[in-house]
Amino acid sequence: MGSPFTTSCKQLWAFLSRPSTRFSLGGLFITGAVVGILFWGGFNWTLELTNTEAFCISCHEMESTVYQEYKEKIHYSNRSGVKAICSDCHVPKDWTHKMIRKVKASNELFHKIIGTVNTKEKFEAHRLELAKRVWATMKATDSRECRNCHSMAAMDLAKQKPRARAQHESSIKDKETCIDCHKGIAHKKLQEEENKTEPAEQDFTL
Amino acid sequence: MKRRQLQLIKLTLALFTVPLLFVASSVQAVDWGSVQGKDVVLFYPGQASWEWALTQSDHSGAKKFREGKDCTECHKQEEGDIGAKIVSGKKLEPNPIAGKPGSVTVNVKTANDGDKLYVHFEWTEPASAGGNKMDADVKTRVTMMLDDGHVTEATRAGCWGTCHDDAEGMASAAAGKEITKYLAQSRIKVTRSGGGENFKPQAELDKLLSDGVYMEYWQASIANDNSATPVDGYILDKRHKNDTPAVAVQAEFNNGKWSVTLSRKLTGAGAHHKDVTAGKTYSVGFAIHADNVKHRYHYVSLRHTLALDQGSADFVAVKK
Repeated sequence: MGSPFTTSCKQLWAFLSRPSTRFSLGGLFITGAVVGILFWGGFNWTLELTNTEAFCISCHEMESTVYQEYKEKIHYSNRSGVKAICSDCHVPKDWTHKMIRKVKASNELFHKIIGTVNTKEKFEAHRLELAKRVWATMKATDSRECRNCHSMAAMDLAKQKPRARAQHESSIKDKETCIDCHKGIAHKKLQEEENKTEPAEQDFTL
Repeated sequence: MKRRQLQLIKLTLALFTVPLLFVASSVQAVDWGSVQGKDVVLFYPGQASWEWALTQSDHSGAKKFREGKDCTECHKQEEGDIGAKIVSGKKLEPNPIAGKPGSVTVNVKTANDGDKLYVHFEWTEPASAGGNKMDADVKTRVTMMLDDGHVTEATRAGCWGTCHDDAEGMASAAAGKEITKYLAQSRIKVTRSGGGENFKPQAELDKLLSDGVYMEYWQASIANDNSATPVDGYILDKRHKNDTPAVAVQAEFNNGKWSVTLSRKLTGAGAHHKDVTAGKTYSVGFAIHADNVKHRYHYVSLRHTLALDQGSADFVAVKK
């Protein structure tokens, strides 16, 4: 005699492992495939909902801070109308890295619940730390999300302004990655705060 | 009047006039129409000091500059934009002058005649901002700074090494102090607000001077009646003006256009003048104080290079 739970498990297993006497193998297979597609589709559809701009800004922490800054920048509105939304830069496109990122995002849900940055003051206090984390991730991945749309190899340097051309040529030569120079391209520029690590005493002779 | 007195007057006039004619004609000795020039955009720099340029939180290019990139590597062809931004007061200018243009394009030509180096400037007088004149007597100054490689800052940033945050009119200028241009090497210590007056001992300054660590400057100081006076000197611990300039100047203003020539003996021009010889590359920078301005309210160039007769410099002063 086992517990009711053990008994239920055994009964379930017996049901699942018993060959069907009513349905054909083909019918079972096709039904399974259809259900699987619906399930997988539903899973991905739900997952992609979490990659929409509307989902991201449903949190006021994002909507009232970095989203307002992004609306002033070129990735929001530009000559050609090619817009990059939050997930284009902050969520990897390939499935494996995307899944890993989504699992890590549960940490963000946790901090949403405990209200770590739920006021502008708290957000500003954490802003540099959050930004540095994003920069570090982008640096470690050779700016993978930037390269979803931008390709150094495809850049026609001759069509760029002289400064852009010079800097891109230099970055190719120095093997730099996009985020090395393009921090602040989508949100508030934090150069002054980032450079608080500048030593108080500097040498002004060459 | 007695005949002898008349003869004395004529002799005196001749003695003064002939050298002047000689100087004027020697400055005009080059046929500038046959010399290829280059347009240089001089821009309004506001309070962009040496210290500002080397501080990352002020100037995003500071890190790269310290790592070895020169100003022109990023800023070439941007001079007009930079000047427009600063003169408007958007950056580096707490007291914008309404109506002041942000830049002026100058056509610069260089030449030599075996004895002298000539530097010729042509530009259209920029629009006047009106208002009070900072310098009641001097309408325009045309200046060139020159170094032969002894001043490290000059090889990287032209004149910028002489412009410090505590100079008159700059962001860290102290009330009552009149600090002119100087080189950082003349100070014991330089901080973000400049080197102040903590000069190195005189013996060290003398050694720097004798070693050639100074910026030479040539200048045409043009009065309201368009007459030009030569000025020259050097910059180390401060701006020193020579009592007797070795530089000759000539200036003309016709239909809103300036034509100014500075010249000096190539070699042996005297103390605190750098010999200009073939086979070397010199760092030069240009500045124009227009519209009766003083101090930092000038238009300046980035660093340019100069060579004599041949070379791969921005300006090659060929023999004419």
